[in-house]
Amino acid sequence: MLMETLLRVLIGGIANGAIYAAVAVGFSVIYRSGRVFNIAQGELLMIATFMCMALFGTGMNHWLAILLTAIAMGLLGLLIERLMLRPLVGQSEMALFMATLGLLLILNGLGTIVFGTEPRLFPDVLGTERWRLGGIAIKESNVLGTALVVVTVVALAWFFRSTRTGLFMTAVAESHQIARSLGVSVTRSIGLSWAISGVVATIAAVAFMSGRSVSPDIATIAFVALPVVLLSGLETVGGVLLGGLIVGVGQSMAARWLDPYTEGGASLIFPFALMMVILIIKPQGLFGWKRVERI
Amino acid sequence: MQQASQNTNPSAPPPPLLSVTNVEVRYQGSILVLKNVSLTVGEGEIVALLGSNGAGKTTTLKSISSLIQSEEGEVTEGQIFFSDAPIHNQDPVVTVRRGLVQVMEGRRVLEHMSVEQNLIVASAPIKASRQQLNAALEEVYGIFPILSSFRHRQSGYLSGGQQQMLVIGRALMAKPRLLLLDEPSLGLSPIIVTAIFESIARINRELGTSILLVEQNAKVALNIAHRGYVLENGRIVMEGTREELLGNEDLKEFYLGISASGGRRSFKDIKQYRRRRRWLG
Amino acid sequence: MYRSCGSFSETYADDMALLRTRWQWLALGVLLVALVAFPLVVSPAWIRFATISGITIISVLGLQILVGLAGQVSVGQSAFMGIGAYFAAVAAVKLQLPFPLPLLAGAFGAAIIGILFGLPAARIKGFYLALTTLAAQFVFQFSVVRLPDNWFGGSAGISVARPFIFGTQVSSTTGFYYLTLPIVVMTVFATLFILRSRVGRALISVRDNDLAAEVTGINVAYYKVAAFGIASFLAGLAGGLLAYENQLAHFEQFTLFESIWYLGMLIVGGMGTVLGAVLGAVSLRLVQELLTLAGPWVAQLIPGARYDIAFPMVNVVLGIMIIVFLIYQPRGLAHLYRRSERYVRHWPFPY
Repeated sequence: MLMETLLRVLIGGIANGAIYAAVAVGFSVIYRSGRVFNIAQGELLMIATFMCMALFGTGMNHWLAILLTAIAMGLLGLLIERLMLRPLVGQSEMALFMATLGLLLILNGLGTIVFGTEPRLFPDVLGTERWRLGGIAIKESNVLGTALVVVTVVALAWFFRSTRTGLFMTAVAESHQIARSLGVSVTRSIGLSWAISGVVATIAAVAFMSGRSVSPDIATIAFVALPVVLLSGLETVGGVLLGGLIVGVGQSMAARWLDPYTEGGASLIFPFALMMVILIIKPQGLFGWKRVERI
Repeated sequence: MQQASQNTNPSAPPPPLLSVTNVEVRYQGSILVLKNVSLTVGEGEIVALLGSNGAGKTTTLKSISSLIQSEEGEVTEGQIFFSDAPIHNQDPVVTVRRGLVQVMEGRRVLEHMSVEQNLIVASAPIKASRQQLNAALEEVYGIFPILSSFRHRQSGYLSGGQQQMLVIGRALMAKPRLLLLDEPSLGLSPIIVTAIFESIARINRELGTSILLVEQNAKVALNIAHRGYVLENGRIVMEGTREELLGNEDLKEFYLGISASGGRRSFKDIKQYRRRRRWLG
Repeated sequence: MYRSCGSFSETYADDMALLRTRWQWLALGVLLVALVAFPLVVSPAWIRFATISGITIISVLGLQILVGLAGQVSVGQSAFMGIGAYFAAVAAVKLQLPFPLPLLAGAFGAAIIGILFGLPAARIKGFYLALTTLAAQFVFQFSVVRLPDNWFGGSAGISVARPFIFGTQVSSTTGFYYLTLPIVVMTVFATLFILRSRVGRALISVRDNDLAAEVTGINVAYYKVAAFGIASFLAGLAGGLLAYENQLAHFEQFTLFESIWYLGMLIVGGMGTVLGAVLGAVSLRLVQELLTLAGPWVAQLIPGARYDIAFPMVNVVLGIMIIVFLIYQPRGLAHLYRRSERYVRHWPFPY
């Protein structure tokens, strides 16, 4: 009985952790390229979700619609880099962070104006079957969604570690000046990272939203994914899988054993409490780069 | 000016690969750092740029490589030509693609990446196939064999000397025609410095790469350089061939620590020296 | 402080004075008279707007000390306002404390919790610190509803009656305006003094280079946490006033969006000065008010827009303003004001 509960908690946690990891990887891809902490990552996810649904509404093939959304989101990422970040080159990290707060307001507002506030049902693109594993029902869409996220993150980690373009972007993450002195174009790397982030937001949308009811509020999920990226470290890409697993399972456990006593508050607050703890104990996270500062 | 004409090598110098003419550099549009600096580096030459702290050596290099831009600096007067094309105030990335690579001061390795990843990143300006990339890697490993044995180690954990070798080797990945080296001896032990300068001479000899070398350690630098310039307070105060500079009394006194008359010269002489140089520069 | 030539101080006291010339005293007098006379000439809707703007000014001044002075970005200012509002409401309704005391209870309560969330500042900085304020924002929103109903009223919030002063209830819009005005003026002057005090200079040194500040003997962690304390104190004060004004303390008034707006007010107004905080707060509240008025009209233009369009419109416009100011005028309206003042003074000469 306990084993079954534990297994159920674990499986639910993994599915949740995967979506957090998918959002978190969007944060880290952008952060490592330009030291920009894109707080509007959740808004990108929301726009991708609704763009997908708008295309589904035209009766188009689902996979074609998703492909088109991914392309459009990549272009949106490039557009943001071009219009907002390039004019801010050379400003402090803080100014860049505040600019993404402005971006959050704009995208959230536009999303609400264009798509409305009423919840709508996202079609089951990942299947509706339920599989049974030792007496526990597992949704096909959850399994496929998790697999999609894992494949995406692993592919990205491989990209940044083993391809030339990926290594150029990692060099930009280390130091803009060194990268420039070696002939690596910093602006191109930043633009590319925003495009990747837009595409990743689309993948996250498909992996997570399939068969759920969605409204512009889903952008909030990005804030729950914050502890994941902090736990794994802002510069790492592959590490978000472990971070997602820890936060997802932890939240799922809080939901199972603490929520009954806290009216559902424990699982909501858990990620933020964890975030505070990480920030105090190990701000650079498990795999992040520790930077020594000099005067 | 007279000094310059006296010191020019009478045997026709090789055609200049890099020519810096009357360059003036300002930071933030107002702080004047370089005044009327002119120098040339010929094809296949090693040229040393000597000077004390704050003389403007690093600024000279950065204005050539355009890396000065990220520090709000700008070439406000004069011209810099590299293989007959103007390169001042350009995108540094374009300069690197043309074959001019600067190795910055202070062993700036990409410390979270492995030795080999550092080298691969530096191949950015050339469109290399897999084989060409491997050949370039082997070439660097041939010059610095120790890097080969550490190729998968994280570069932040290398020793200072190894890091210096890595950044020089890394610059070679772009197949440069001219290498700008900023203080390769900084903070390294004499044995390592000797080894590194031997490698620099070898790079010049075997790969035919021209080198503009900035050093405070004038002795080591002049050991391998063909010609040299002395920079003081943002002006070139002296130039000449290796032999001329090594024979110059002032240089011996102030940069090489060798005194002609045995004891240290009096303070008065020092003052004279400074004053004379300023008027000439 | 900028002065024209020929106006100089003869004594140390002169030099330290906030207002140095007769014209400055006159300008202050005119401004105060205008503020007092304001409700006599406009409609109640605009009086209420002015009250809300005044409350916003208090909160943004707090944020100015934290962000503009100490350089620590906070995206949780409205959560601390909310905490102030709830504490004030509890003090007024449950404890039945007389009027000014609930405001103080709210301010001190918010300050204590602000310091608690500011404690990580001893170890971290930059946007890592901003994330702890973000955590504060969400922890506030999620926990207030779920705490027992008899603590903070659960999802209904706490209703607060308008305060009694000398036995009479300040129930009219105008009355509450006159109640808020002196508090706002006092806060403005208090902030001016903090800016010019030892604390203010210490905070500026922390902002400009915390390592250098530390080695010159400034206890960086202490001052950072103190900045959090002051910022949330003022947020709590503003929150308490807002609870009285709305006659309700409710968590939905204190969202992340509000927090970002306050930060936006600082960016638009200008970092580091009292003038910037005031200009930013008033101008963005004005933009918000105008957009809210224009909302229904715009909604007709967009086919199929059945819902409240004002709120997302405010978000879009404010977001654009934040980015535009960051790019083109990072020193904000305060800098524009100073420049135009100088221009007028020197006219017709360029300088």
